[in-house]
Amino acid sequence: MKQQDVDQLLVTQVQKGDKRAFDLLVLKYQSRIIALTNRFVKDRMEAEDVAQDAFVRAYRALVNFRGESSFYTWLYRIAVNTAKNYLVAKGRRPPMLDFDAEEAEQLFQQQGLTEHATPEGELVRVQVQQQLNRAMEGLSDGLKQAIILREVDGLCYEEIAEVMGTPIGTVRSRIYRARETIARQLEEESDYAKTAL
Amino acid sequence: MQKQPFDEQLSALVDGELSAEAVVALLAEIEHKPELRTRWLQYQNHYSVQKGEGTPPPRVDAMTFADRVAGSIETEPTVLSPGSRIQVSDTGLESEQQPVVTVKRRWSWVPLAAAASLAVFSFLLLQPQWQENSSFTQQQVAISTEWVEVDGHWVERWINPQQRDHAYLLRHDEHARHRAALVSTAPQASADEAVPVEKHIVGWRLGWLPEGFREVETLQHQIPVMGGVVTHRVLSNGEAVFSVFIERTAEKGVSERQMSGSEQPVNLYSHSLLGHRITVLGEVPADVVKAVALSVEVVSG
Repeated sequence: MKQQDVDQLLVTQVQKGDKRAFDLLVLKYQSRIIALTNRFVKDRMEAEDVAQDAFVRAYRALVNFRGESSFYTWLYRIAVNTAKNYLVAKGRRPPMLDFDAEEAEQLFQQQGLTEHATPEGELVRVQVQQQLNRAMEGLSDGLKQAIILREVDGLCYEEIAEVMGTPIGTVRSRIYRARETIARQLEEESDYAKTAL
Repeated sequence: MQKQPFDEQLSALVDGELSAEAVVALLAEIEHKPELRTRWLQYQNHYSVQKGEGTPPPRVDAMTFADRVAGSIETEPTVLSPGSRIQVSDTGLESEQQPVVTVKRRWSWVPLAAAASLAVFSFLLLQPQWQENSSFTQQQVAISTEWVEVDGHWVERWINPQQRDHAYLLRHDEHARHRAALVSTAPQASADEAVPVEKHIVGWRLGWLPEGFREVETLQHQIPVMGGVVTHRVLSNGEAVFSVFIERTAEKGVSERQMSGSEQPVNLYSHSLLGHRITVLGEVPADVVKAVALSVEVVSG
């Protein structure tokens, strides 16, 4: 299943009246959207306000979302329009960032282009990547193989089950345990870093 | 005890490997366990890094931002899918067995109708007339038992042994009768035997709805007279609206009523199921509220 399908699953729940599903979408996309609006307004605090406004507009408009484009592409457009409107309202001129949303998403996925590819953002990314790599190395072979097949190779659970010769339930459990192990290790490293400071 | 399965479900949702039904139950669980939101964020961030999509920008408090957005949309009207509006049939359903709803309403009335249902529901609880056509006990009964699914069978048992013993002392002459219905909390199996799999009630599903109807909102109410939380599910086909209330109670029985006063009579059907009272009411036919109430099923996990 693609990420678009996961989003559509959550969007459907929102359209059924469950606001909690929208919260998961916010948590999932907030960093990208804040980074995007930051490119327009050039101020972190303002960027967050504009991003918040974009999410609220998206929520209001979700009633008309038909799934013809991916949720992120649709959200991206709303965020760009919100940021532009914000700048116009403030008497500031929007920057020339008018590339197509689908194109932006493709670039995002294929080249790892991030709206927060700033030097400090890149530094954080490299640090987290290194931490992740260390955490992955510490996993048992079964867990490591399962999480790599899923997150790096992008296989679905059924395909992973075939490759590993295990039931789907085992795949699901191993991926979960791998994520938990990684999350705990990163939390510990984070705590250690705080203590060291 | 249930933390791990829900965490695992969260992981499966990240990968899009969770059914829509399980998503509903998971969303309900997230509301009670904020740590699941944090885990979702962590899983997403790690997944993004693995895919080369970056990480959250520095200095953004991710949970705070999401909380702000959630606070902003809290006051927004609930999103309703337009798809459901075109499912409405003016003539209702032509099913031979299923009740048909032909009451006229508009979507804009839904929140008002839901509020009215709650008002009626709360009002009824305060009325002596509640006992009319009702076998529910009148006085509040303390909740001292819970229903647990053990190896596929639902059993009622004391919440803790102290309460069980206390009840025994107070009503020792009834003890034998109760004992037959209760399962001891003491371990039944020896070390060599398989430990029975216990499941608890994690949610409720509506087993049947009249065609064209869908759930448009789920609310939680704290009704003082009840002393507990009532789950209120609002269902509509865009024209007619009715409500399903689910509350934990020690009361048992069945109630069936019709109240007039507005354009359409309000029908109510209430019955008990696994330590909960299921009440369906609205300006829809009596056979509809009854069929919906009897179709409510427990979700265990």
